[in-house]
Amino acid sequence: MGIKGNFEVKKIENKKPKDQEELEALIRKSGGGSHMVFRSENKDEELFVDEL
Amino acid sequence: MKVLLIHPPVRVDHDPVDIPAGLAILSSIAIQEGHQVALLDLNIDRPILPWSKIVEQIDVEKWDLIAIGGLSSMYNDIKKILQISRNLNPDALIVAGGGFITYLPDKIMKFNPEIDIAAIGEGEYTFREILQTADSKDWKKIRGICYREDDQILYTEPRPLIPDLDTIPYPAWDLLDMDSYFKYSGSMWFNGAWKSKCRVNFVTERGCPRQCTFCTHNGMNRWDQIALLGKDRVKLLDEEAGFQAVTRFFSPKYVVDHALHLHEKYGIDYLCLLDENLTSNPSRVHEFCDLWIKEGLHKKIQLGTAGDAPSITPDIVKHMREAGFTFISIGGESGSDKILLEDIGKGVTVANNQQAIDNLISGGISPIMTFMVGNPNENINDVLETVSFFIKNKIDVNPFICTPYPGTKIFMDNQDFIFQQYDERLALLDKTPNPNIDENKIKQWKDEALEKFLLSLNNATDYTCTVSRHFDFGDLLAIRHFMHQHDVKKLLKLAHMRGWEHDKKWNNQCDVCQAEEVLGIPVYNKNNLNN
Repeated sequence: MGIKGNFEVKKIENKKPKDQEELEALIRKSGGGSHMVFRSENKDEELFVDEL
Repeated sequence: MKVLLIHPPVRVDHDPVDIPAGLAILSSIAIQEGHQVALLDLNIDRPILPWSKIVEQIDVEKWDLIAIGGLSSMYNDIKKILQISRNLNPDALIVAGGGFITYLPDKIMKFNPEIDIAAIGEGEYTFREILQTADSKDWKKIRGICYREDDQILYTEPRPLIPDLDTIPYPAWDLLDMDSYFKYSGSMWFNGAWKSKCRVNFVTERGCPRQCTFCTHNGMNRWDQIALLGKDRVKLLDEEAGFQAVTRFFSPKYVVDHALHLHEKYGIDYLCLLDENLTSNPSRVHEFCDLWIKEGLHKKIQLGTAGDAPSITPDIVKHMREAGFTFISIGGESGSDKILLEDIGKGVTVANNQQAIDNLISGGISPIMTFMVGNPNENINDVLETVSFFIKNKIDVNPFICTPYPGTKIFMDNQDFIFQQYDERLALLDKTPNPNIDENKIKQWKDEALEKFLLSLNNATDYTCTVSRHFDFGDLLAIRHFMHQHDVKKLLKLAHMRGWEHDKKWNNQCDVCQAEEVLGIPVYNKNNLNN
């Protein structure tokens, strides 16, 4: 994860949300709308808010 | 303030070879202004991070200012990042800059209500002043921006180009994950560069003396300013700020000192000068090579860059070879003088390109050439001339598709044609005008088509839309493939299938023409064009 600062910035580990509740919390944080929430190398796995 | 700068993903089907030095310069400026600064580089990971992680990462702090920049080809991701950023930071000042917003600032701000300020063109001085004005919010005093006030999008006075590039601070390299980038140091398959263990890229030139119709310079060129602001306003800026040069350079000393700093800090062994056209200023090239050699850098760091065919002379090549240049990339564009001179307006001929190749090869530097297909008036004969140039020089290249990025002359000249490719109603109205359709409705369709076009923009290695008057997208994809394969016979067959008349000089390579001659009947005729 490429974040660095001139002060201590918390780095997020690259793990998938552990359950549906955590996933939905993330979607709410991101603002919903029509934009994509998950990106994957496999396009079929990609999730959009509208599909959830 | 807590300031976050975000670098969106770019060219995700390649290794991340381009280090976001521009955003790192803005980070330096924010640090100089006394802020807490973080740079989130979303391009360094392969595969690119899932959006969920981007949401989480932006959410680790409450940011006072979020800055995001990028190319037009990054618009799709930028739009999503803007939405996420605003939702997580409702009160933050969101500033956007770079090529994606420079040429259409009011439209982009209309499409993206999350943006508070658009920095137009060269951003360093503008960004510093935005930081200094964040408390008072007296934006009208800052030149070169678009901002919101009472539901209106307002422009301030234009900003002159930066007269002395040496006043720009070094990028805040510490805020980039350099070790991750160094993993991809050998990813540039250019002579010399692929052996690198520690490569850095940066730009030492802004603007370009050539004015190709497919190119822009992010508003950092006098020609761009004329296109953006009009001749009269640029004349006023000339009087006020001194003549604004078409091309500006960092001084050789600035570049050499910067390279020394990077060698001492990271042990860099290769430096790519991503200039548009380094060789176009021969006296500066000689001065730079002299200083580079004097400091002993020719024994420590190899170099690569892009050049300008007519200025790649034997004496320049010799000196650059001594300094450690291993490749020079040339925008060859086409093997047809008609396309080079009339469509692209490069002011360079096929003979210039040939001479540059010959000078580079005999001088021991590898020529790298890029080409394109789909210029407005390019026909099958021009394509065949280009392939002929490939074959003669053993050039293995997959041409770019001529793409009308915002700000380019081909975008400005072809807007309606572009919009028609994104809205069939507009395409139909062009063929069959209907005076009963409300003009405001048509304006709305054009705006919607513009954003669809922006969202679809990608690298010119992919098809987005065309400005060609001869080829449709199916033709272009096939032609590009056969050009890469040096397959003249397939191109000639395609010409017969489509009813394009090829020049007689190709008859001896054309199986169709030869068959017609033997049989005395046309293989493809007007009733049989789709065979």
